[in-house]
Amino acid sequence: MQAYSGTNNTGFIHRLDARTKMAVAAGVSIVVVCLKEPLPLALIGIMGFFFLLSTGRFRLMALAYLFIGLMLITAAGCAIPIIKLLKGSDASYADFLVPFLRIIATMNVVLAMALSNRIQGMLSALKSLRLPLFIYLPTSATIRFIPVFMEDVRQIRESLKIRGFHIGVKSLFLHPILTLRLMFAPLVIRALRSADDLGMAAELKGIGLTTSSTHHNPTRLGFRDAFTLLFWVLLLGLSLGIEFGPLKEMLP
Amino acid sequence: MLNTLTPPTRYWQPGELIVIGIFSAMIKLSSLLIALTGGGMNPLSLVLKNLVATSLLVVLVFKVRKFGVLTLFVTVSTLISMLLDGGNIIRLPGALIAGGLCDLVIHFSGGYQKPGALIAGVAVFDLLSRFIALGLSWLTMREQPAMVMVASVIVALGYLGCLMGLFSGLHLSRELTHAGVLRHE
Repeated sequence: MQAYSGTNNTGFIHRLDARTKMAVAAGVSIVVVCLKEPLPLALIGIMGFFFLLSTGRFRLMALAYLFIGLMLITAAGCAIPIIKLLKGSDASYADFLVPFLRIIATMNVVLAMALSNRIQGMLSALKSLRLPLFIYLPTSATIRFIPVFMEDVRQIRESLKIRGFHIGVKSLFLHPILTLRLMFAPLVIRALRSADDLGMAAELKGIGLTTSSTHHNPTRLGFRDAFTLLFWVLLLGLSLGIEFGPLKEMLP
Repeated sequence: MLNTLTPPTRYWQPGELIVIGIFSAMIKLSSLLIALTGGGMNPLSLVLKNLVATSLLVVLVFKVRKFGVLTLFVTVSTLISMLLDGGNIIRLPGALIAGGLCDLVIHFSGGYQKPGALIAGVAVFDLLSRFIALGLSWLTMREQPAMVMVASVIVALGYLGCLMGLFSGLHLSRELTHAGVLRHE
């Protein structure tokens, strides 16, 4: 994910405001649940695929598709005998087209958002949403804590390696409880200490007092955001029109 | 004059909010780490990642003993899921209801000072979260209920890990309190 890796891309989707991407993801998630026909779902899925392509992170995209594909094939493979057992009728992978399309259409847009968001962009977006402090502060603490956590994991793994204990697939399967205990007990202690330190620092800085903070560089929605939002509103409207409205005759 | 200089008392202190944020990150990343180390969707890593997530959630409610902690946790967690790992926004209303109900369970089963009430609240929270996940699966795959049945088996296996996590979380919280690392906010 972009937030974890910190790469710097300047493509179309990377220049979009995080609020725009959030709105697109929310809109698509809601609309695909209402749709039942393959054609409108495929339309959203294809446009979502191009949206995802514009992130330029092809390796991660391929991995995500491989993972989802394997998961769906496994799930359908387990479901086919159940259908045969319950209904006594044969089922094939083609019967799973609509649920698969729904999952892929949603995945494309939410993955596009996740792969193109930068930590600073997310924090600015959260600030610009004018969320109350009790939501904004823990959310930004979560985002800021991710690199610290990764570093803690690395350090603990290295210290365990020095003592002759290698954390990996083998140790997780052979000694699951010991592995978890060795890994997570120090992580929890470090996290609690970090939380105490950050909490005290926040108190001393006067975070959450009556005066509201001023924005050094306020984020505004631009032409790109307006264009993207308009495009997705029209596309979702068209899909709903094909499913429920006057365009229903287009369906085979 | 003195009153104007005294800062207003807030329900949530910054320290508590930061603890909630840090634990949201830990729960999310630990689950991800175990799933990746275990090689995806095998039963053992499924149980283990839920065990760790519930244990950490128990430590969180032992640390921040305040009405609304679970509601705030799910709000933050769902927002982060949406921004970072492609979580679905339509989970939010159900998750908020689950969080609120579980806070009420803790409140009415003895309050936030009783470990038993906290454990009961987390157990109900895990159960409701699983039902919401299944509800979302049904919405997505309603044309093929057999796939929801497959998802139910996976969710049930995950809940087994959660039940184990309740005990390990209680044990971990007691150890951390004894060591002086876990102090109530």
